Amino acid sequence: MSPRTTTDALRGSLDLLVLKTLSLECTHGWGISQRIQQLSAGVLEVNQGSLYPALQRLEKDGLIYSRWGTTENNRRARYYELTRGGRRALGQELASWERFSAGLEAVLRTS
Amino acid sequence: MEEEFRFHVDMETEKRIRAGMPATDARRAALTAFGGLERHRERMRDGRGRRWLEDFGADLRYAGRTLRRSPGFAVVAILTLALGIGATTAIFSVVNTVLIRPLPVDGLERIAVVRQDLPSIGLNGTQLATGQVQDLIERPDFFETVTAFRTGDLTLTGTGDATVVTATSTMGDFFRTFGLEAAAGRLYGAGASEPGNERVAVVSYGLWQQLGGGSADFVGSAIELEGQAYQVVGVLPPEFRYPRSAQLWIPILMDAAARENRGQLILTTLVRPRGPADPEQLAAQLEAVALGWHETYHGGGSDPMRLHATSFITYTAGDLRPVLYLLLAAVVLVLLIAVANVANLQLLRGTGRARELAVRTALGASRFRMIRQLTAENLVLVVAGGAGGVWLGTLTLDALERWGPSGELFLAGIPLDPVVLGLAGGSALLAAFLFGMIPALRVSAVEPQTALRGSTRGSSHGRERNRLLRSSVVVQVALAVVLLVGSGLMIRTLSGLLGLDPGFHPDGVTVMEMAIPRTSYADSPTRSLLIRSVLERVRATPGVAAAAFMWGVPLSGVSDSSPFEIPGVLARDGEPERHAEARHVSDGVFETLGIRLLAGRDFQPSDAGGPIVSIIDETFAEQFFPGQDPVGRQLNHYFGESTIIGVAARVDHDALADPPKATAYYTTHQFAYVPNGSLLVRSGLEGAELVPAVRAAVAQVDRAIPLYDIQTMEGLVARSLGPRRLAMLALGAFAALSLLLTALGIYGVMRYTTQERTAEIGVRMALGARVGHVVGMVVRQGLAMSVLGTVLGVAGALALTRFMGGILFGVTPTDPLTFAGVTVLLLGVSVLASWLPARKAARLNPVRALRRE
Repeated sequence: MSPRTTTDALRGSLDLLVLKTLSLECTHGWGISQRIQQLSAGVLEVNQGSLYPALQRLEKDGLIYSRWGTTENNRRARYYELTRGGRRALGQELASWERFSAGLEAVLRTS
Repeated sequence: MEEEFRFHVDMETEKRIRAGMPATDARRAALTAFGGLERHRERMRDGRGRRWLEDFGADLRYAGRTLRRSPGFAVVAILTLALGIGATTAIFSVVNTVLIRPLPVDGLERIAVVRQDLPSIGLNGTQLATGQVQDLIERPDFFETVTAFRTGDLTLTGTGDATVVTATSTMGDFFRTFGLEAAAGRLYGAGASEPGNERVAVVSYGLWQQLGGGSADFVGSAIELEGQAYQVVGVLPPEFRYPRSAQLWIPILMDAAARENRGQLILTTLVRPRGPADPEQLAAQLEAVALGWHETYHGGGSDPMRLHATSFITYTAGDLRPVLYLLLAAVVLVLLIAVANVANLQLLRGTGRARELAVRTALGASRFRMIRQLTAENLVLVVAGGAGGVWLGTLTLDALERWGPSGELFLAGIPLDPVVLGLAGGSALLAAFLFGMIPALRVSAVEPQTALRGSTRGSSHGRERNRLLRSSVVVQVALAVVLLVGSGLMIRTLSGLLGLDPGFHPDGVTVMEMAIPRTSYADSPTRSLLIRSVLERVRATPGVAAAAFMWGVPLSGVSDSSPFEIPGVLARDGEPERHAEARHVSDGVFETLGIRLLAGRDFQPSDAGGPIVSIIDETFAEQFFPGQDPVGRQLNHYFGESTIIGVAARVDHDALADPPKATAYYTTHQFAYVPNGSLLVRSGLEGAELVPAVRAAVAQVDRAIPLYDIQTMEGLVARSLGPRRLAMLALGAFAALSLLLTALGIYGVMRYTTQERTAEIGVRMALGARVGHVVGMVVRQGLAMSVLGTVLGVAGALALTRFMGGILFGVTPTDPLTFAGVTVLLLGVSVLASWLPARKAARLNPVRALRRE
């Protein structure tokens, strides 16, 4: 995983979303974006311009892997799946995210 | 990747359509949501593994643009490589084919050509007669196989139109000597020559396709050669072509006359010795045979005849070997010059680009990236050079086939040898590539700061590079000198040969082969009359100044020779043995060919039926009738007793500048045994007009007489010079090329050094130095390199040209005129090449020059 900086934190949240989504099901890029939208009840709309580069990066880092498959409508699409390393990374990222948001909340809640 | 994006956009579009949007709007919205495909692509290209290939593709395209921006460099570099590689490979391929493996036959190196020396006549390396070959056949203890053959043209009928084919008549075991197997049918053996057997023939693969369409029925079919019936029994495999022009092989009939014939030396004889290869043993065996002949048939005595053997491979390469070696050496030199030149260009270019590379480094380009860029550039260059080399190599082979010597050589259809191409091309391209990579490797050695300043003057790095450049130029000059000397000598040789008087005037004479069908003209008198009628008609054709018929046209390689006696005159001491060439001519040959008659008269049609007459040539007269008038004397030669009626001037019959042989002419008006010959026509008309007119004239006499192989006498003369001419042309081309390349090299280096010294020049001029002084300074610098190179080159040339001795004529290998001329030429070119950039530098405004710093 790349070393964490502030810009990475934002990038990291997208990574986190992707990893989480993929831990629930194995799907293609469009499916991931729909799923995130759906799970967040419409709050989070993934910038599709960043989604695919993120997927590529995650694949290069070995956290997910991709293969070609067919959808129900018999269309060809690239399906992504978590690797074991990805699962581990997901756990780590979730932990650090919880620490981060807890700290943030603590500061913001202070009156 | 594209497909993935497309899928995504399609799904977005569908989603919107399902939500109720019209199709086109839906798509547009989807695309907008996807946020600009291009940006994605750009970003993702930075990530994927496939990007490596795409990036390199971009590098290659950039390389192409860069090279196009300096077209001079690119063109010269590519052309230099192409020429060096192409010429090298073509010549190597020819050498390889001709010298090492002229035929696809196993054990070719064991076959030897047997020839005779008759030192008493001064005849060396002649062929053998049928009786002699028979003796060799009857020594199976010496030879595993023996075969002998001659080649000639025969009229073929019985399959479609009458046509003329080149036929090789063989005795002994021709096919077994080469270890051949029939592609179809069978190949006849030695027994086929025994009288009483049915006449059989073997055809070449090409002829089989041509006449029989390649069908199996052709084997066993009947054909007619000169009216005689033959049965085709077999077909040779397609790779075997020896003699090269042969289309048909038939056995020589060994009747009683043939067995006893020892005087007509017309057969090329090949043997395969028995036992392990031992040239000494073979020589001893042949000596024994020759001595036996000398005792039995020539009454012993002094100066016995000799038989000697030459390797078949050496024999077929023949005259060409020294020439080919010469060309080989020249080609190596050219390759060296080419590589040196390209290296030069690369070095110069590298220094020019140091700045660009420094900028890119400063902007953050990784070293790997720049090396990759330079690799791409050099790859483009090298691939283009290699491709050009292959193309030029093929072109060179075509040219060699068209203008090269014909004959027993297999110059047709020689492919570019892939091994040689790989070696030559690989080494040259590798060298070029490596030199091109030097700037990349230097990049890290030079601080961007220094490179940006634009000048490495004074730095050790710069000095080393200058030294490299200078030595490269010196080497190029030296090599160019060697090449120029070599080609200069060849040019002088050739002009010497061309200036020789061949004894006749070939200009304006056209030679046409004429075949007389044996069926219609079965004996000598009828043929005699035919020739006479044909000549009458041809001479009557408008535009024809003179015409004649001849068997044994000068320089055609056709000849016959036999011993003679002068009745009443015993052989004197020291007289050459009485053996002379015989040629059959009609009347008017001397006039047509422009051969002077020194005494007596020409043949006339009225000689027919009268006492046999002959005309001897100058050599004959000088050797055997010294100080006397031969006209009116008797001669006992080819056709028995004849009266000498004239003396003709000496003519080069076999090859220009060969020692002359005594020749006697007989007339077709009395003897026309040979069923073909050459029609010689002297005319001012162009071939396109003349040939149809002559054909029409001949057709008036007999429509069935073919005229073929039409060429000019001048062409024949030129072709006999073939090998030397080839050498001259090739060397001349190489020399011109190397001169050009060297000049470019000097120019480039001088331009670079003057650029480096712009500031210095500016200072000098500001301090009052005159233009002339500055120019002189630069020119002197360039001259220094050239002088050193010339000295080295002259030394090298002196050492190397002695190996050219065999092909030179009229010049010595150390000919001072040639050496002096080359030196002057090269120094002159160097001065010019240095002067141009010097002048440009000196004309600079000194202020501008200084400001460049």
